[in-house]
Amino acid sequence: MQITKWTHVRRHSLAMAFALLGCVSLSSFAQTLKPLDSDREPDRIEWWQVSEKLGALPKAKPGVKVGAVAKTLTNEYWRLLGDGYKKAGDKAGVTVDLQAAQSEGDQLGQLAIAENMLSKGYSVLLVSPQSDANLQPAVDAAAKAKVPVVNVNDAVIPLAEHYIGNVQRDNGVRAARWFVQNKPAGGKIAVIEGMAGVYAAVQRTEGFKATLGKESTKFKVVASVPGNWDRQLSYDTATNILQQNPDLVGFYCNNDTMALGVVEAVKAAGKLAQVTVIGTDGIGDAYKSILAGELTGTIDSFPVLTGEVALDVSLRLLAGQKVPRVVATPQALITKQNYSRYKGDEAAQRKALIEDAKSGAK
Amino acid sequence: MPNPPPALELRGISKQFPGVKALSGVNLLVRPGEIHALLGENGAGKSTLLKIISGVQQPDEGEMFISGRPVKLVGTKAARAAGIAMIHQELQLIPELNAAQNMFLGSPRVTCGVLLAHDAMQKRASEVLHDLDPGIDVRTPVKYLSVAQRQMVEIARALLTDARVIAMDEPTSSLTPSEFEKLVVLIRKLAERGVAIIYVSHKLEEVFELCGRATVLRDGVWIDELQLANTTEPELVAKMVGRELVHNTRHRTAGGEIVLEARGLQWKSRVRGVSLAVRRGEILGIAGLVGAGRSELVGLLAGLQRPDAGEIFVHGKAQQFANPGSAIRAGIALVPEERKREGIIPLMSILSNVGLPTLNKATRFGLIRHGALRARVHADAVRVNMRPLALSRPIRLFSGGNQQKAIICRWLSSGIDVLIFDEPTRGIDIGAKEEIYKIIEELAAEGCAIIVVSSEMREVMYLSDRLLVMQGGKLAGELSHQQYSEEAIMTLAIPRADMAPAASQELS
Amino acid sequence: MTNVKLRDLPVRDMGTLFGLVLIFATFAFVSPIFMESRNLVNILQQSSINACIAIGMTLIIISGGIDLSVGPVAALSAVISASMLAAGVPPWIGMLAGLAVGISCGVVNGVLIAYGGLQPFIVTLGTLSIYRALALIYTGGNPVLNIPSEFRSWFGNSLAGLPMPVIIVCIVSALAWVLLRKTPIGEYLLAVGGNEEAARIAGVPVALTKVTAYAISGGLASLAAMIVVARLGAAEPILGNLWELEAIAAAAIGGASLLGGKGGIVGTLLGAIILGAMRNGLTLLNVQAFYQLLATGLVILLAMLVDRLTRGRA
Repeated sequence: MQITKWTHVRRHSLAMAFALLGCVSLSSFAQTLKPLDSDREPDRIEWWQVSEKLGALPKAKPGVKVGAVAKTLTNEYWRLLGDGYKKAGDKAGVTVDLQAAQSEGDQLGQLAIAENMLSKGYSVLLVSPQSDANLQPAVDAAAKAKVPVVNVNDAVIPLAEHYIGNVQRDNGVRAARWFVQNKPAGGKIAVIEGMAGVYAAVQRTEGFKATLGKESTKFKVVASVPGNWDRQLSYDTATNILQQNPDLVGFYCNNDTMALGVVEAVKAAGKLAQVTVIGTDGIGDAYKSILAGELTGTIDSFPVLTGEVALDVSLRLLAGQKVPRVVATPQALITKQNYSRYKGDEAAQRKALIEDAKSGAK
Repeated sequence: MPNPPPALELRGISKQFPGVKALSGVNLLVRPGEIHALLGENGAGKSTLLKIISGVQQPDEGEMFISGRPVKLVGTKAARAAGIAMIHQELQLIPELNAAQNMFLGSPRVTCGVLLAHDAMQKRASEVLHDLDPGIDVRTPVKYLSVAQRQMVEIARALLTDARVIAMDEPTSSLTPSEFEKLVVLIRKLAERGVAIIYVSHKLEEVFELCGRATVLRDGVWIDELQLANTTEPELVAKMVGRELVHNTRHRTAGGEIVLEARGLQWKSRVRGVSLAVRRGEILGIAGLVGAGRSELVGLLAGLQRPDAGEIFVHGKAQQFANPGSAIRAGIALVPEERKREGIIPLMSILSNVGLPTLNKATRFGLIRHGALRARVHADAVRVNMRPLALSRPIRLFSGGNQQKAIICRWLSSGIDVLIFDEPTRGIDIGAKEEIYKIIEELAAEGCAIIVVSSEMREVMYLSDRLLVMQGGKLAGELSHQQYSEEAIMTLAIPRADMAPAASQELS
Repeated sequence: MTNVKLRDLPVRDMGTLFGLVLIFATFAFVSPIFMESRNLVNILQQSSINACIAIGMTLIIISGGIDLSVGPVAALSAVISASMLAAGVPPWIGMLAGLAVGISCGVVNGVLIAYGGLQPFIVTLGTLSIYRALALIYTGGNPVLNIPSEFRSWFGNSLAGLPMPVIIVCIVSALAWVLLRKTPIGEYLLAVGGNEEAARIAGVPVALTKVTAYAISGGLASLAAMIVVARLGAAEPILGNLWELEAIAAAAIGGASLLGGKGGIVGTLLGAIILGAMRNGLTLLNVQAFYQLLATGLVILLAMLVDRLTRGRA
């Protein structure tokens, strides 16, 4: 297939594309920004360094309204991110309105929402796009209206001036490294992917498989199939995979909802001791399952914390502060063993994450 | 001795529809045990009156009494509860359900808890139905029953609810003579039990045979109530149409060249090796009983189905029709039997319905020339005496006769060579019938070759120059105009074993 | 003579228009910026994709069918056209290729339905999966980027204050209106949907009529896809998710009957704008997504009730 090779040179071809775009100078693109590579962007800062380097949060002007466009509210992750916005907004005394598309993958609907919020006149927009491209027209319009746009997590808008979040691919990388370090004997692994073609699913799966292949020779991915973010479908899929591969050692799931379905299937097959299940997101039910000794672990990207950081940064932008283009937020694979370290009170969590970051642990 | 109160009495009933006064001060009195004819042309208001009697519509003015008590019937349920049942012209059974299920539709069900008690229902249904026609198994899905049998099921359904007044709208329009005879016996039996029958039919011979009194409507107005014993048929017709009808005794021998010829046509087991030819200016009749394969035969000629074997020649050239469109291009068109299902497109206007087959000829740069099309359709509609002459009105709002005229109009200016009529006047009132006969004759006179399929023997004999009789998918024989008689037709049409003397007597 | 069949349609269209005015008035009352011209242009722009799809859907619904595969058809033509554009093919060829893909997909639907005698719902349910799968397989699940700016600018410009997509949809609507009201094929669509057997006996080329309707729907789906690709600068294989339902909703609100034989372009356009205005207004009022969904559902049901009440009053 002609297109598949682009997976590997994706960022590279993006660079070419926008170099080209720059030359042609489309009227709507006022500035020539380099396409954002959130992983390697040199103009970056860790989330915990923000107040160290930029000082205390300036007091918001009266009448500041923050608009947020989430992906969808049917997923706890995005609701928690919104909680983070609200929490930080309350602290700073600003209004935060949160809107979301009606379903995962509703690209045009989300674009319409973003455009409509712009006409309503928010001071700043926090967006979590469905895909790299779907909100681009709204970003252009915001630039014209001089409303700052902050890209929070998941898909990366190539021309985003501000990005806050982690890297989807890194999620898979962490899961793969956990297997390499904790299951030295290796064995058969299965991946339960999100909706086919959805950005986060593609990136997480790709990161997982690439890392696993690179850093160990003992693992074999025997199945990598979509569970469509759906618990029931994932349960059925996992049941089939386990029947086919009775000696399977682990599942990696693109989100926790699917992971919980897989756990049920593993339990039903009586293989809880043999099969490891790693989920993604860190939703409430996932932790209940981890503490009960069923789900092995989940890669938590700390949505509440991310939301707080995003709001904090957007207020700094409004106050005229210069914030680096990328503000990196944490991710950590949390299991029963290290649960207490991350999921205690908020201060302890921040402390632990800062320690991780300083020690360079991935 | 005091008379029992009338089973049903209507006084001064009026009903207004947007733009039309459908009924104006109509009276009707039916006594228990009486078979009362309700007569009038289509559009005279019979249908509206029946709808009011059966609770479908409510009158604007007037009173209604059942057994002497004033009633207001809102909804068919209320009418049923009051003891009024309706046997519709187009039977209202659900083909996939069996006879018993159909009979219990809309009636208080026999239930066992919340579940239907199928056995009990079947038993009750078969008791009632056995009286009418012991040949019907109540477990048979209705789609496998003949039209006559379906009618029995409808009547049985009415009896199930102990109806005291049964209104029958054109009950015999699709019955064979022997089936009709059975129905006559049945209706008399019902009357003897004290049931009042309101009988609507266009077949005056039936009316005279069956009914005692008749109420005549014309244009929504009550005209007269007659004792049929003291009335002649021409008198009755005059009251219905408001004028005397001229009777045609046309004789013609066709001499044009052969336009359409078929040789050895075969289709499933329904058409078995039929050959025929029809000439320019000739009206060829095809008679036979229901199920003899007449509709199937003309369906093959008009491209509705492809024959399994046999050849069709148009102007001497062999033709194969992939669909009706290709038959039309070859010059053969059909006015189908079931107007509702095969003829009209109900939501579309008269103009669209008429213009449909000839739209391609009415375009300029791919766009329809609506002005020219309307002018042409208007002229044709005037020619067939369409009433009202409202070309933009959806066709579903017109009476059956006017719908049929519209379907015929399709072909008036289309340059068609052969026009096939399958039951051209089914369910159509006398006035419109005469008009349709006139158009058919005019078309033939203009050189069109005509084929007429009809179950009404008087109709085929009246119209045709030559007659083919079918029986069991085959041609049983051909009659020249001099040989025409109902007896001769029946002799050919009825399978030998079935030929009962009683049936042929009834045909006079 | 245009009032030939319009005679009983305006009643319904007036109802839809009244609904639209009511919705606009309500939103204008509670949100001052709703009636600002920038926001109105926004509404038109945001309704244009759905309107484009819904016009094709209307023609099919009138013919008594349904097309569930419009979203995947859009996705497939988007990724094929985009990959050609990205490979340096002249933009107009890339666009024509995209339209050709869409029309071909529609013809496949139409042939299976008209000549194969299969039910439209099932056929397009099947091709919904197949076309989506082809788009995913072709791209490996990744978006196609590198859309040349020339192509993007075609659809990105404005004319007299109206964005290009709105103008395109206006042109498409006008053509569709003429097709439906002024050409034989329009009459055929109404006839086939109104009574297929009667239409066949009257000599209407039933199969050809159906195939035409599905081909047009496929073509319009790919036209919508071109607009989206140009606006977003990328073609994604998951594009067009749930487009079919939104288009059916617009047609139904506009008075098209899923039983066939009834429907119109004006009504469908109004229906699409109603849906767009709802989404816009509710977002301005900061109503949460779940309640927006609820409101959309209620509007559809309300439209059906109005339909029921006005029936037979033509």
